Amino acid sequence: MNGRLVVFCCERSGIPAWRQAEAGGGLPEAMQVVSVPCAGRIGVVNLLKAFEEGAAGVMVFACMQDSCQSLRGNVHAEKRTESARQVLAAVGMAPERLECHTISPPMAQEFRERVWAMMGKVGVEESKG
Amino acid sequence: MSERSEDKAAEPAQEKVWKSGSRLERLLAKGEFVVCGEMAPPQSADGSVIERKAENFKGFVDAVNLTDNATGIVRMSSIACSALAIEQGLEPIVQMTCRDRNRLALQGDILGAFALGARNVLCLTGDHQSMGNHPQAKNVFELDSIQLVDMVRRMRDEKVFQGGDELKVEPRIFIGAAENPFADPLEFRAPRLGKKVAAGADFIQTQAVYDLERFGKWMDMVRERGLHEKVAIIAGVLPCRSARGLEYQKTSVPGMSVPDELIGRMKAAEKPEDEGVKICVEIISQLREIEGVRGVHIMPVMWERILPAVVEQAGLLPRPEVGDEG
Amino acid sequence: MIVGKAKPVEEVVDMVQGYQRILVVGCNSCVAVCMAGGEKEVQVLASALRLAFRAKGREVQVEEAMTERQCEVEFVDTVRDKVEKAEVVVSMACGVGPQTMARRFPDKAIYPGINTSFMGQPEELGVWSEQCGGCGDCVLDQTGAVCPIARCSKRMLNGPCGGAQNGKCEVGNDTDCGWQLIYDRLKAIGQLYRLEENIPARDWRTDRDGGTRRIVREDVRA
Repeated sequence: MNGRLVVFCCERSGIPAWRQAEAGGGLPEAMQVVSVPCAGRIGVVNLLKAFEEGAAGVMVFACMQDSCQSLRGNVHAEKRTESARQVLAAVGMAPERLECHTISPPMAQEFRERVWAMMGKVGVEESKG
Repeated sequence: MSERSEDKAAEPAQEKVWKSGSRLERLLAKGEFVVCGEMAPPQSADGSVIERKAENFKGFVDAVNLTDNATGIVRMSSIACSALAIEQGLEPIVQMTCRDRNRLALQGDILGAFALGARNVLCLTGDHQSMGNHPQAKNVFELDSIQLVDMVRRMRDEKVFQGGDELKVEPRIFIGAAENPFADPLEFRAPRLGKKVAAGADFIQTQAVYDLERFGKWMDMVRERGLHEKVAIIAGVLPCRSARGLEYQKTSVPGMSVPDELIGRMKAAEKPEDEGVKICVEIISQLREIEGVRGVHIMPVMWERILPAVVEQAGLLPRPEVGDEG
Repeated sequence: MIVGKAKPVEEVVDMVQGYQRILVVGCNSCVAVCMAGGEKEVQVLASALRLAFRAKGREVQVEEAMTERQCEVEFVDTVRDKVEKAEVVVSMACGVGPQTMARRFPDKAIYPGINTSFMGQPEELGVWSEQCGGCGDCVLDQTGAVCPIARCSKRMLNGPCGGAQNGKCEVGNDTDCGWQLIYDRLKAIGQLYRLEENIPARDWRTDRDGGTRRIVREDVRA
């Protein structure tokens, strides 16, 4: 594991929240953001491949309930995250390394907090400075 | 006197040809209101259990059903228990389901049951094994109850195996089937009884009656079709000992109809067991009033020792003697 | 269509324990439609296998391939190169697929990646149900096009039994009573008279009970 955090962000919610958080500073360096037009585009295999490529933790930020432009993209994202978690458990990896959250553009602080919480959980050492 | 009248004087009196000659058949032919019981075979290899259980039935019933892995729980076989019951002076009704046996085994078992002295059989499709203690088993179900009735009737009346070969000595068995007036689709339940009659059923035992209104409606439809004259309908009753037990039957047993009023009575009763017997006895007396009901089938599930009290309080004692009806 | 479900990942991991070079082959027909063994599912299994072995401290090579159908040798041949390079093949086609592959590649271990279940149809997205009993002697004309063998839990031909309530079967799981469906259909098409006749004991020889089945059409044989 290379200790990276791979963060899939819906371009309508996750990306704006990330940009705001980034502008305010204090996001981990070992974080790779992947933009998707809708969280519903993320397949189970995309999440697994992130781990194959060495991620220590993977996160998905989707639009909040009832806010998805594609209507149910956020619902699909949650279900697929759950399927991928089951695969992780089946192959002896901690399913807690994968999380899916809903978020809206102004929620920069929440974004920051969740990302750092995950970093701490998967044991990636980094200073917050 | 002409030769012909001489011959006539010499003719012996016509003897009734019994299908089986069983006590059940004879009593029904006499027009008696029959009483059947039901015994659960032991869940063990201990045959002496039958001897102990027999005390609850001897002299109180005309015939007793021995169930066949009922609800998919493995018990000593119905035929084995029937043979043991005969040793105890009881007349068994061998229950046979299509769940665990194919036509080869079923026919072989009929021959064996007859050879062991059994004279009544109840042909059932059988509860699905998923509800029992061996849900992993493969089931058979290559015949259904109607095809089983038909097969046994042909063995007896046409002396032929299902596959076509001749039967040298036929099993002279009184054939029963079950019907559930409370299962869906309701409007098909009386026609389905008609199918069992057409297949050759001699007697029918019904699912336990709590809902007399619905049972009455079913009997209306049955009488409309004249089926009550073609087959002896024996209504089922189940004495309940607790409100919870009755509720369980309402919610968890498929095809049961239990009026809330009865559950209310059981809940309110100071002595639920006594109330349960009272309710059962009331139902029996109401069943006796229904045209076409020729008897009662008491199923004292997990409470066999209460059967004598039910029979006595229902005014069904003493059980009639079976003479040499001609 | 044939409906199945991907085997639990742990089971497949167990099967391919000792191998280095694994090939996962899916099928673009039935199992792709029921989302058990199509391209996506092949990718997920392959990824899961790599993760599983890495977690055990082993590097394995997991290749992926697809066949249009896996029940015919012409289609199976399209992946010959990949099969020959692999030590073991996990087939995500229905049960026919791995067997076809095994006949085609007799010296290669072929393992099943899905549990094949039944002939059925999608009720709604994500839900498939068994419809055809595969009995070899179809009686759908007598039952309003509802199969009594597949849809009645007791394969009754003179149903329903006494355990049906509110159109549901006594086995639970919200299973429909097949005979309620038959009754409703026959009523809808004005053929309830069919239920008045007793259907005699069936000849099960055309079913699996007659032995493993084979259909030979001399008229079209080469």
